Amino acid sequence: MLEVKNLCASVEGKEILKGVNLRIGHGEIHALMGPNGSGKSTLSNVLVGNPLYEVTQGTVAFNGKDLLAMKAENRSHEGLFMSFQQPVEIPGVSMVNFLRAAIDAKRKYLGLPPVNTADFLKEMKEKRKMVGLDAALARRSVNEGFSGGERKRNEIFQMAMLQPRLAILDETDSGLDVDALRIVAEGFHQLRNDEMSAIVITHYRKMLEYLRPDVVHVMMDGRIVKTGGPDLADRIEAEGFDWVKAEVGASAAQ
Amino acid sequence: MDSLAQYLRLFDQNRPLLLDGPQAVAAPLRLRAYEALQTHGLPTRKEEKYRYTDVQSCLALDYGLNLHRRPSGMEAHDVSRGRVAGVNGPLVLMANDEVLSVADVRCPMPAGVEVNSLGVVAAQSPRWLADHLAQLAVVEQDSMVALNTLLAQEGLVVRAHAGCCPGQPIQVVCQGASQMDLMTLRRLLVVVEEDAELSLLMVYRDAGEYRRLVSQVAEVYLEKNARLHLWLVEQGQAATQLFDHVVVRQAARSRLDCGCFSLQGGTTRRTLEVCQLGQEAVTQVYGGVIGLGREHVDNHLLIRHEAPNCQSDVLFKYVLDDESVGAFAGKVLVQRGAQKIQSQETNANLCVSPTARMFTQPMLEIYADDVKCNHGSTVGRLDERALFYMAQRGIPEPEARMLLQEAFLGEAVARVAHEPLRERLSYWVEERFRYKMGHCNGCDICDTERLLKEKKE
Repeated sequence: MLEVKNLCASVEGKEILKGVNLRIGHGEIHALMGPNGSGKSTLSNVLVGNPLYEVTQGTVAFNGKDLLAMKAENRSHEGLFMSFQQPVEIPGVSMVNFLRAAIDAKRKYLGLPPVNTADFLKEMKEKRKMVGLDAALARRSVNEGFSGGERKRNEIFQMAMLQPRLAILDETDSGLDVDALRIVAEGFHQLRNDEMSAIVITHYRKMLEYLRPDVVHVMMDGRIVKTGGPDLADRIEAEGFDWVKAEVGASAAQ
Repeated sequence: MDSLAQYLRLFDQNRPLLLDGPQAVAAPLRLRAYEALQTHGLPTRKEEKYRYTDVQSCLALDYGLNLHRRPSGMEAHDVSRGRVAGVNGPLVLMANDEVLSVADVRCPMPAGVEVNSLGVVAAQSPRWLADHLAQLAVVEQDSMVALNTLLAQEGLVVRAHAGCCPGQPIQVVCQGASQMDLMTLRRLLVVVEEDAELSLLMVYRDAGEYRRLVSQVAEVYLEKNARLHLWLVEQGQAATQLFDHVVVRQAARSRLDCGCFSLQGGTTRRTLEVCQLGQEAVTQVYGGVIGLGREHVDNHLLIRHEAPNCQSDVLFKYVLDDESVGAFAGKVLVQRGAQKIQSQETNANLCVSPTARMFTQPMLEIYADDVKCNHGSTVGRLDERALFYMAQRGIPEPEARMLLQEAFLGEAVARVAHEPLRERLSYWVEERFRYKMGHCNGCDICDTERLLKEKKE
């Protein structure tokens, strides 16, 4: 589904990604861990086409298509979704108009007619309940006056509405209490199917307990330095990243 | 000086027409205006008040004037197409300065409200008219008022008698119409008597190939405990120049709610002066401006608090694209003794293209010591983070920009208390931005242009 090869990227002239290689198959959940500043968020922003990041080298194929050649909105239409670490407030734009514009744009891209209003509202209601988002919030402007937790829940709600093929959850667990985390994770599992893959960026094992990743990667200094199974997350939780650093240092010395 | 000399000469050549007969009531005012113009000349950009709008170059075009009052050729049903759909209520139709019809049998004027052309009122109630006309808009204080007073022959008078409270708004459609470049000078006089309530919607429309300059001077009297909703909506064209001068006098416990929306036009200069003479008066003024192409919109406001315990709230929002220019100068003046005033003035602007320009000047001048006044202005660009967030969700940039701009102006539109008008304004704002995107869904603006074109053919 996703094949990242030797991806290098910089922001404001500073090189952050220094050759990332990553391969994600259909239906797989990959966790991305690593100390602050290791490039996890940069990788997700580069994948979804944030114009602040400049790709200097490398390729990304998404379902066989050249992802880096596409505009951000077309990447979304192709099925790429990112749950933002800090979702943006858009005063005056209602959630209904926002999602409708998003869904109609995707349908247009796919050669489908605009969505029927009644069907759309019905779906909004169903998906809203699935992630436990209050009806009053869905009527408000996008993220305006939402608490941190509500914003994260709103991200998952949007994911449910847009039904992506690859979802990137960038620290979706931060700012969520234990109950909210469980609801979001349950919502995620309901949406999951054999085709949908995910990249989960997190610092906490709790999120991974709920989401049960197939593969865990550790990023350091702009590269993926270690890849393993779920037990890798357990060891990081228990021992931190120092041992990974030591391993990487030792192999570099050799 | 050339254009001024030309207008003074025109007056001299038509003295009998402008001073005698039905125009006699205006004669002393015209002579004062003549003198004022001779003394002060036309405004220049050196004058603080007209710093952002070049009046001289607006007047430099060789406009014709319809002093001999030839009919415009527009009929009431043509103008009625320009009415705001969904807003029910009595309809007044004007072509240039000519009143074509005042309400009809289907929707008559409600009891207690009188609407007539200036000519009719001059003939029927000359003394009442003399007591009100040119009392608020003083010729010596503004040369554009003086020019209007010198040459304006017709207009509209709206009078809400004491205690009347018609439910539906009165809608006045002013359509520009001519087969030549034309200057229209007209008056508007609105008197809302004690305890009366009135809603008045003025729609300025212009389309077609000719250039038109409209100078309108409106004087609005709100007597004790009177309430007025006044909405000014402009849908002109690139060659339209609108000089709208509105002066309001508020007595005790009166309430003004005034919305100004410049949706489309060429050059617009609006002067709005509100004077609160009585205690506990409340003034709410809000406006939305869309600047596309080379449009120029200049709103100049003065709120004078002369009495204690009053309130004022001003909100103007501009979205400027392409090479458009916006200007906002708003002064809140609190006079000595006008204690316990609460005033808020906000001007927020978006310049969405690198070549759009905004000049903003919020001002407070306070001579009382127990007041609560705030003012502020911002000029910014579209939020790049929001644009990216929307792009990530699949919303293409033009659509995202439109949604953000619409949302920005939405705050001003939301203040319109009359729901059908508010909905129509939201629709127009969206259509205007869609028009920019090149795929308008057959909006009223384009419809009017098409109809006029068809009619001409």
